[in-house]
Amino acid sequence: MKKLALLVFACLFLLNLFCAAALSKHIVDYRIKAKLVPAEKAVSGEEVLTWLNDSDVPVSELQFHLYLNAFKNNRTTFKSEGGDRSFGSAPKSEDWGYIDVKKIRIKDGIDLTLMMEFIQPDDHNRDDQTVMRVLLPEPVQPQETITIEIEFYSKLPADIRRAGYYDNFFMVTQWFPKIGVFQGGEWNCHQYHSNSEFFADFGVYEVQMTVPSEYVVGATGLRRGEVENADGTKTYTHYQEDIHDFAWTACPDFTELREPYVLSDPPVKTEMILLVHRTHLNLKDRYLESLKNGIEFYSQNYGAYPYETITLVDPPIKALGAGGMEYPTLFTTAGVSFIPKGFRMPEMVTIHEFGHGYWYGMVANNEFEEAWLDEGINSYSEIKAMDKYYGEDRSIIDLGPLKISDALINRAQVIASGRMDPIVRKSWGFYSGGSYGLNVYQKAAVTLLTLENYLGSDVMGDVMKAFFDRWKFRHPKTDDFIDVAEEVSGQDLGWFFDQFLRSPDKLDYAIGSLRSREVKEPEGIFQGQLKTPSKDKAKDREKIYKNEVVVVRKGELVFPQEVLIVFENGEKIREEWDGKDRWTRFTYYKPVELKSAQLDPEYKLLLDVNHINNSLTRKPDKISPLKCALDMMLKFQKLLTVISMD
Amino acid sequence: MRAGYDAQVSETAHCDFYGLREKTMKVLRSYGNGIKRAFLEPKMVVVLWLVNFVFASVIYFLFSGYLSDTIGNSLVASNFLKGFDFKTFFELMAHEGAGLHWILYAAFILSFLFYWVSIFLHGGILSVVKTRAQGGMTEGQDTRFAPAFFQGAGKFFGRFFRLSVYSLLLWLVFGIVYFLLNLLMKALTAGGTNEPAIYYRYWARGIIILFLYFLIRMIGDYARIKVVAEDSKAVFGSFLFAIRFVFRNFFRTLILYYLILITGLILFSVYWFIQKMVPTQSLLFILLAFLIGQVFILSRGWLQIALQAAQYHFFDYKR
Repeated sequence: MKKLALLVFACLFLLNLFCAAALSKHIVDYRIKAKLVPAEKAVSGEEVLTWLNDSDVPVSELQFHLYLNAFKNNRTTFKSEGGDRSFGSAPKSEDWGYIDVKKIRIKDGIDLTLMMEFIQPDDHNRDDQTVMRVLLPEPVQPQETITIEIEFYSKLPADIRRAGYYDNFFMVTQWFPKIGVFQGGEWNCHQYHSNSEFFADFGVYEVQMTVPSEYVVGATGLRRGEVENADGTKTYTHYQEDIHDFAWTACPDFTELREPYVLSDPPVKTEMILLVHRTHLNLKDRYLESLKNGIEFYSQNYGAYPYETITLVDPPIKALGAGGMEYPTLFTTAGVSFIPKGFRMPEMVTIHEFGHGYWYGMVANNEFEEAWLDEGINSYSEIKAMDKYYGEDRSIIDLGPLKISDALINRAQVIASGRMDPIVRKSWGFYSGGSYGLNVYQKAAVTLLTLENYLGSDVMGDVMKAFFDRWKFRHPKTDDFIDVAEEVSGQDLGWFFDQFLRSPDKLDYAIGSLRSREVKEPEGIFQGQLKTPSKDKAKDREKIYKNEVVVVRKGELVFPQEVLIVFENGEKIREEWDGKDRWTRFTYYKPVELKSAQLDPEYKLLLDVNHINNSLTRKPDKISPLKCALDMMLKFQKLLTVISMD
Repeated sequence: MRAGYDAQVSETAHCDFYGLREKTMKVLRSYGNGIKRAFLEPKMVVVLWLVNFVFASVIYFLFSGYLSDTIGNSLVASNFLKGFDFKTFFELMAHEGAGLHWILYAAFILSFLFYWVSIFLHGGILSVVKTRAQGGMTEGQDTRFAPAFFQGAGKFFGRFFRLSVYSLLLWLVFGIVYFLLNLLMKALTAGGTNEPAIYYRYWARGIIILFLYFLIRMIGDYARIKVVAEDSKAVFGSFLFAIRFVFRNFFRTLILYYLILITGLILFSVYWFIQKMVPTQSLLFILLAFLIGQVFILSRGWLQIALQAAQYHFFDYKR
């Protein structure tokens, strides 16, 4: 009996250990053997997928993403949504990309190849073959697994966007038949859209990649093996748990640089692997420094980076379509060798794409449906990181007198744009690609910066940390973020998120008018008696002014306002207004006149689309416009001297 | 035999060296003459500055009115006092960009008008330079500045106008040359992964454009000088002559032109350093900075006269 108890205890201990080791619930287990055929610009592969039905209903069909079919013809959903970048001249047959599923069967069992069918759940576009459905002979019961074997051939596109090839550079992403997410009793498996592409379950990936031996390979996860083959090829084996995708790249012109990264608080130990194209070697220090900054910032502000590797891929200039993309433990950056040091595009892209390892990689929202949760939150995080490491007023551009911050660029785009969409919308439902980018990236980031200014940096920091901690290795939705924000801040923030995430309207408050009028002595009939102003006393009497400040709400959205009112004698009054009405008036009877009034004096409301009308003064500053106008005149004079020399 | 040969070689070399030195001296003499002439014509410098000032003041009034209307009553206006403020600039562009577009249109129209006025002024400059070069000895010629300048400006305006039209031909030819050179550079830097080559191609492109631009301006200058110096009505002939003249004296005309350009660069550097030292956060210093700017514009007028006078001197010597 004692022995049995010990055995049970040991089993429970091991089970506990096993569960503790896994960071996520493993729904999928992929074992893939892939071979790059450079001459054919293609990868041939064999995939063994074990899928767990984690739902409480039987599943009678499987759905797979076949992303590369987005490049199959010019009428796919991806191409027709704006992903159609012309090949320059007429496309050749080797320019198109596609994935051919040659065989699919249940392991050691029934061949399902004839059961394959392309479906178009989003737009019914019959020319789109980016989602495949396979009917199963028997349903997979809840908490049962099914193992599928697939043979496939992935032809990479020349029109490199995210995936593809240029010359001897291969970016092998979204390249294998990838199962969708079974959620809420149905498959969530969207077509490949121009704007977004990510949503998958966590699990285990073991991938063997065979390439010509002169190729340098970078891939998701930890390298477990490297074998020279007799036919002049080399096979690399990578393994990673707790991820939801696998990407790799191969190019003989990469220089591989490896450097360990260690952080004590929180404890992080990882290896930075940089694959820098030979033409960009001068950028390696910039990449390395910004990657270190990224790991430090995200680890300290959200949670320790948990993986053993992080791989940065630097594509050649003609393959920048593959640049600026994120995959688990691997991302592509973007840079050109002659970019000036003060123009921090490589740093910004590196930090942003590394950051996706958190917002997308670990906190794995459905990008098809709520892209702001990864792109918006990550843009916000990127701005914070850029500010910290490169200076708040010059984080993106620092070229002599030209200094521009990341936050300013984001806000400038928000205020200059039309307001056609809310932030939360399915990625293919936006008015245009521009509107998608504006809302999902810039407006979402500016919204979170505004929320931070409203809640305070410390509370916002706690919100972000809690959101990451609670939803890492899971699939959060917008409401989950709101729940965390409300819980941590202890405030009802529904009014904020309902307006700013779900409405395309604008926030714009203004000082409507300032007025100071002298209050006259009583004159006329009061309670039956005639009163006339005393001429003698009028001279001695202290003047009293009726000072009025009118604040107006010009936009549809509502936000509590702070107003700083300044009088001629330097006295300052700070007022608060809930901002709900269309206007409000503040009145003061004082022996001095008004000087100025300013809304949002601390410049907190980055979402307010017009900061010019946030203040008004009764004594305009004449010197500053004079200086600007004289400057402009002098510039024009210089231009004229050039013309006159002609 | 050997000694005689050596002596001959030495004599030839001496002659070549002497000739080269003499040619260089001529260019330097022309340069010096141009500088001297510019110093002797303060009235002309003032006229050039005044015309420039009048045209530019339109932009001042437009821009100042625009700023008063848009941000004049807002506290953000003071953001511009410390320097160029991108935050406020982006706001202006987003909300009041249409007003700025109108100012840009006005600037374009003013530049276009100024171009024709500058053609008019060119006639004046060269007439005065010619009069001074001849020492005012030509019979019946009024050597006073104003008549010489304005009569000359009026007299040659039509001919210079035609020259400007002919110079379009040169722009066309140089456009083709640039296109061909660019094609060649593209071929040499083919292969999209060769970034340093692409980088150097951009630089080379810029240098070629600048070189061709200055060359066309130089040819135009000599064509105008020929017209004025010989009071020629054969405008197209003068244009062709100027092309021949420049290519026959290629290096010397180029050296002279670039000497003046370098003088201009030195003047600009001096101006840049001085204006960097002036803080522009009070009315007094703003006005001081503006005054320094006007001195620089005066110096540009002075340089223009120096260029025309130097080229005139060189042309006179070669004629």
